[in-house]
Amino acid sequence: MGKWFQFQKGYVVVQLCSEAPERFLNLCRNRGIDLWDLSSEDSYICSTSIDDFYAMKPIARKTHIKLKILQRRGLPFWIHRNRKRVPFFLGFVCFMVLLQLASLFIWNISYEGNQKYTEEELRNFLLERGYTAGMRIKEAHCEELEKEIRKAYNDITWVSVMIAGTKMTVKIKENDGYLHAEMQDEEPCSLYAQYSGIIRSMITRIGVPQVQVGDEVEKGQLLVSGIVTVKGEDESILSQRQVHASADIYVEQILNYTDWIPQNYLKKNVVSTRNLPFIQIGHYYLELPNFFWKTTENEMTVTHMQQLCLKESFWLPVYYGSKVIASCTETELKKSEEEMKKEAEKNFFQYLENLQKIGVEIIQNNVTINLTVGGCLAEGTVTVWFPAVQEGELTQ
Amino acid sequence: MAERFSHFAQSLAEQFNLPKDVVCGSILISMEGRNHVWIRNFRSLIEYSDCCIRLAGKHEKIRVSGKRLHICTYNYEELEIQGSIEGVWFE
Repeated sequence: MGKWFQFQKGYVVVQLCSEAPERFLNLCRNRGIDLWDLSSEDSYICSTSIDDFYAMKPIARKTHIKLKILQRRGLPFWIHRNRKRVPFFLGFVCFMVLLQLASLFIWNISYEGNQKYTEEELRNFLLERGYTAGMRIKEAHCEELEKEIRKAYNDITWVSVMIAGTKMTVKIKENDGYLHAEMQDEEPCSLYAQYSGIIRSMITRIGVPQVQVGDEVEKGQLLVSGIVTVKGEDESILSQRQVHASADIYVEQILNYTDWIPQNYLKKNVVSTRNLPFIQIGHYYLELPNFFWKTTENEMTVTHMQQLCLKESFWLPVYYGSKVIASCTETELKKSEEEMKKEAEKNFFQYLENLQKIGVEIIQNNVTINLTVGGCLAEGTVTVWFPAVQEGELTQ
Repeated sequence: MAERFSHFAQSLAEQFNLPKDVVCGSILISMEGRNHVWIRNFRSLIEYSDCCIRLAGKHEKIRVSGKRLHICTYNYEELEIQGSIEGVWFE
């Protein structure tokens, strides 16, 4: 018999007042009475269930053994002993009711498998559709949400939304190995200038070019027309055909670049830290009052927060954790010339890298890094070629 | 007569691959180290003290001796003894 089962049913520890209880024990066994924890050190003591204790009484009379209850253990006795503690039982009932109510809502949404899309982005997407911590489980439609995610994000190849307990798990698989299928958009269109500048490179695949290399164009100017006209010998228009214009056109632009690296900077040194534990239930926030520490001007706060869960899938709207408040002092330090130059160079290369990422070709770089009073100045111009093609409506 | 019947039951069990404890009524003893012993198929408890437990089976009696012997479970099915067991003897 398991310990929990014994506790649940209740049992008694009985002393058998006799010198030789063997006959009594044999009779008990023959009548199917279970005994456990039988010891004979000072006197014979055993444990038995409540029903078996009553069944034992006639045998005890028969064998002239006196039964003495030493202890009453288990749930029925515990309830009987505490029957007058009404607020305790009411509190327990309230707790169970609250737990039951809490189990009707989703309190935690977790995301798995996302690399490209951040949790915040997915959370906002779900929030727009009403899926947030605190919503009713009944109102959550996993299949519909799966469809919506697949519809909104083309490069998410597989989605699974499941609810276990009070936790919603969104598992996604992103498409990491792209097959770049050439999607031919056959809608007729013309090409217009996306930026102003001088055209430096132009390759027209389909359409009638309206400008040539060396021309200065304004933003929005027609570059390649999507209307192809077939003319006769007498320059009369024989026919007109609408096509999807296609071309690679680069315009030259001169970008000004300025970056200032100051020599002096403030460094924060942590002097002391203190922990303030807190608990948050729903929107109610309770923090240990800050009696003993003086608040200083320069403070950094880091909050560690965890959500309470009874089981892996049973999360509750209870958050706990601590605020680590660090008092800091600020010291003014100076960078060396080397450090300033390195920082300026790093910033400039980062700037160029960002330009290249958006398809810009860097032609000439006239940026110089000079040390001046109080810092380092990176200044100059960068000549770049921008891809300047933008699709638009057909015009004559 | 009883001995003859015991032999007959034993040969019958061997012949038909029947469990001997059921056919012959032999006592089953399982031990775990020298602190735990389980005894099944016994008839009655003859003597119980913290240093000796004697049991009667169908054909034989056994004695478990040791120190601080404590019966953990005592029901119709089995008897579980815990303690520092020195030996199990057939009488």
